[in-house]
Amino acid sequence: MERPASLARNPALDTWLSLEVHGRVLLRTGKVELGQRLHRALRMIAAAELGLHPSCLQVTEVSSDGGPDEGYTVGSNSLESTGEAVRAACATARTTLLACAAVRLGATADTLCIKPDGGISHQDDDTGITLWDLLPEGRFPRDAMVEWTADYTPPAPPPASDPGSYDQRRLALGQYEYVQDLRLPGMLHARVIRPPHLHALLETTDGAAAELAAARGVDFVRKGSFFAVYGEEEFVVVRAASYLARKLQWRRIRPAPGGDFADLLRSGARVSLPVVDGIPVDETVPALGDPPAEASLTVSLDFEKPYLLHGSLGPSAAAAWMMGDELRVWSHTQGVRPLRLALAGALGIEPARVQVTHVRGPGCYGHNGADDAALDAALVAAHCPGRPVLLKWTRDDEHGWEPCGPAMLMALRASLDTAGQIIEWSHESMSDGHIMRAFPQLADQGASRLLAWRFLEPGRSAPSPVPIRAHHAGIHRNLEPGYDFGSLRTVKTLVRDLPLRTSSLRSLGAAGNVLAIEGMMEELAEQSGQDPLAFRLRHMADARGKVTLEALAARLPRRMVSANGSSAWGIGYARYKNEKAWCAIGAELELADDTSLRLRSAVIVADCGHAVDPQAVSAQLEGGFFQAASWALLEELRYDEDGVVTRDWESYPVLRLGDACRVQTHLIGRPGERWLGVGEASCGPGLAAIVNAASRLLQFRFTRLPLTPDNIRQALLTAP
Amino acid sequence: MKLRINGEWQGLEAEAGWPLAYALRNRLDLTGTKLGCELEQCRACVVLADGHCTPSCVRTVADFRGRNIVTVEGLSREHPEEFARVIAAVCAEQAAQCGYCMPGMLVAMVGKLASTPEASEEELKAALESHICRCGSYGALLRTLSRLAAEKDDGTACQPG
Repeated sequence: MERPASLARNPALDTWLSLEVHGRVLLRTGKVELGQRLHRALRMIAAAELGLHPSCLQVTEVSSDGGPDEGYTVGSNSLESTGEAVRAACATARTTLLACAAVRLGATADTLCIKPDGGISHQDDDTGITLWDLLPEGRFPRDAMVEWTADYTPPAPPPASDPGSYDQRRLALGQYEYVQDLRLPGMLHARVIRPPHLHALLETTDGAAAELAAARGVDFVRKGSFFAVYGEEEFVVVRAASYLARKLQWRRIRPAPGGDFADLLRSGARVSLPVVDGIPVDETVPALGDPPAEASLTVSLDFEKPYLLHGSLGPSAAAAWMMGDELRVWSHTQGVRPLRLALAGALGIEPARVQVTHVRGPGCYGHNGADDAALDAALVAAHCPGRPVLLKWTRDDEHGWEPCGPAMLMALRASLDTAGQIIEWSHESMSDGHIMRAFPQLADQGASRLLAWRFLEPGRSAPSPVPIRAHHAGIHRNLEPGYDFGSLRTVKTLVRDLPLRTSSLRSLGAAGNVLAIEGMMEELAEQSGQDPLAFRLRHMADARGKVTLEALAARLPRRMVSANGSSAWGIGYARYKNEKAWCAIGAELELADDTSLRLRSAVIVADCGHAVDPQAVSAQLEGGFFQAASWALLEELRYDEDGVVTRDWESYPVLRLGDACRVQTHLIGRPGERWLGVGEASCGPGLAAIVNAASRLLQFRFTRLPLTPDNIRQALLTAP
Repeated sequence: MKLRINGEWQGLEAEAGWPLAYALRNRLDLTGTKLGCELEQCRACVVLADGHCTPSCVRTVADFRGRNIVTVEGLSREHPEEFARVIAAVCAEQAAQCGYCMPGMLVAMVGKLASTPEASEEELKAALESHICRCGSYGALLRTLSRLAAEKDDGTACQPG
């Protein structure tokens, strides 16, 4: 196991933890708490290495000032990066502290022990000194570095009495402050007003805008085509914004391309790259050619996944305060430091003058509107120096302008020989950019990736994506299957000039790719008369993958279709990025009277190595499953030449509690194995399991989402 | 313009035209009620109005005149037995992820149990069927409802998990 990049970037021990508060070890991380219970896991890891009771550990707020620089909290990477860094830092701290104690006591370090309450014992006797007596001002020396070792002390699961990253009771009562709840002295409330077209210029003159605003009792800020209203009383601002949204005049610069997303993906200008060992290579894409001569069965399938919303329950928000020439920002961003740099770039101020602090937000499933709201708030704050500003997006803003999950088209062809073995596999995935976050250290990938930037000056346009080259990233994440085939042709294609603003949505390309792979596996098994589980297992060399799939099989009924044909099970399997958690899911569907598909039950099996907090792991796996269920059965972002038209929960239906089913989650215990990221592991398998269940139930290979009654009817009617 | 909110009469004349949620959050410092859509579509903002679970994001203070309102902050005082059962079950199942939907879920669960103490699992599910949780915590939430239905004969509250 390699030293994580987080430690290479932040090698000093003092960056990671300190003891200046008696009774507490303060941990610092650059990864934020999104509701995935990461900070509690860090406390468990730290407690195990230090030998302390978890209640002694505290994770401090994540801010761009102080603490380690760890980029974005994404990719199911957190536990493997910051988790390993915190572990190593605590192991180093333990050694350092016991060495200090040894000097103080005139003993040798190996006779000393840290007790769960932080006291130091010498051969089981109290010494009267504690961890908090050992370091000047509770800080490690600046030149003390974290020593890296792959050895680790497996953390125990959190005790039932542990309140967690955030106490369940306080959380359920709404007692924690979200960005949307912030109260700052002299605070102004603000709302942004966006155009009715995707590409537009604000034509209303400043004078006219001033009259309109004054008439509604608010002030306004306008920079180019960026327009926001603000005032002291929130509801007055809300009413004014609603009024001004109808009154402001906009000129559409150009229409967005219309048409069906699959047609646009098939026909648009493109860049195609072959993918080898998970990485796109600069070579000619090999032609598909004819199936091999030995092929006894060849199947071609195209899978289509529409644009999807993150659709966080609470629309994005941010607070900003210009104090002199210092800008303070409070945001539910996934990356406090990249956001700081991007904001500094957008506003033309020194990064050292900007501080971004993470405050909890409503659920985060990828690159949503949080960073954009931060720029919106900062622009208003810059206009009102000395006053804090809390700016909130509306539901309409969020649906219309958040960077959405890209539409995908997966074109597959596979062939079997006479023995029923796969001898040919080709998979090309076509999509828009999946990673359009701000990366301010790269040219043209900083401020321009924040939404308001393009409104500030005429002639600025939305940034264009470039093909991502990282291992299992973007469009090609999980493009290479977790099976072993003789011949593999995998191609990723970035399509240009698509209508909507897109970026990372939970699992990125993996959901679409796994949907397609698992659908093809089912089709091949069915056409060749093979059992779908046995078919998968015969093509799998990955030992832990096999154990995962077999553990699922053991928990499914023998019959995949119920005796009366009214319900059916489907399976989905993948190892996220082919290097993180393994996940196999069985989902059972039935057809309701209104011809909608309904979830009956589900089983999730996963291997995530050592589960630091098993209940948190289950929460992530089940959460990803239900999100995928919503994609499979309900969600489809619709658009026209002016942009997104599905602007609320009625036009963009999502899974509600009444649509959900009981789910059982089983974690394969792997004590001693490294912990693996799970946040996105269940999305692909969940999506595949549900679509495969529907296909089995209705005896039809569905290849286009979502599986609404209308779409099902359409698919069945237009089948050849 | 008086409303009884969490057991106390509040005068909200100046806010008569505001959605109740704005009065709760911005006048009375009751920020436990969260806003998700301001369209009565997501159930994040529900409160109990004369015992009925009602969204507070569109209907105004005037619309609620004379009603007995209980917000998430008032559940433990106004419905102590039901609250204790619900919070224990929620904590045991660790149902909250980001937590944004939870005040609405809590109000709905307590409201249902207060009106129907012997509510079955199906009845509890029906009372919460329109609630949205985008984190997909439905597995834990359904297990919470199972616990509540199974415990309906047991008046003991467990310590929070």
